[in-house]
Amino acid sequence: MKRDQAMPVFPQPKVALVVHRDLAMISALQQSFTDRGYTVVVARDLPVALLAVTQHHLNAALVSSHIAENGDGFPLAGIIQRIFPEAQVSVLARSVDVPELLAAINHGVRKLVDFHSGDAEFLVGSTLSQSTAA
Amino acid sequence: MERQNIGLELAKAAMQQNPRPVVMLCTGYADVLNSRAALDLHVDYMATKPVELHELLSALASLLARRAAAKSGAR
Repeated sequence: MKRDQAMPVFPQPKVALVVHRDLAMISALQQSFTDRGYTVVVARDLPVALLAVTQHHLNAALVSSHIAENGDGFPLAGIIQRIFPEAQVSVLARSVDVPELLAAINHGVRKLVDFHSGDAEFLVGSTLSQSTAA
Repeated sequence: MERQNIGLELAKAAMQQNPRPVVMLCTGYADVLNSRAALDLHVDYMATKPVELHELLSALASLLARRAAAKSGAR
């Protein structure tokens, strides 16, 4: 290539992080993100999830509210949202009641998705439907 | 004027200000509906009464520190 020729610019693939304990759930969510053109990073525990946050530029994340213990997904999702303010980050909860909603608000999470509200396709669609804010 | 959701209405109006202030809600009646509305509004903090003053001060300090860090990171 000649020096004065511009280097071709390839679009960066979008990256999504899925954090969940259940392998079947991870697989279904991963497939749904992949179908939408995302490169998917998965984690089943907090250390791996935190490592992923340091190694990837995340465009989306779907985090279970219960990773090792009840509620520990909220602070993780809040951290991800603060590091990547433009990312579409959701917490996936088994119940969406007042304590879960308050935990989401107080950790800076913008979206809480009810696990029972639909299949993986719906959950990922719901995560990606939120408006991004910086 | 119906005063049931006046806190949420006030929060919404506050959040449209520029610069946007830190918005914290204290409610004596948190149900799924108004908590969901607060989440969708992206308020910074929500507490249910009775709430200790130190809890509010601690949350406010944390939110202001976070904002200052984000501002300095953006420079």
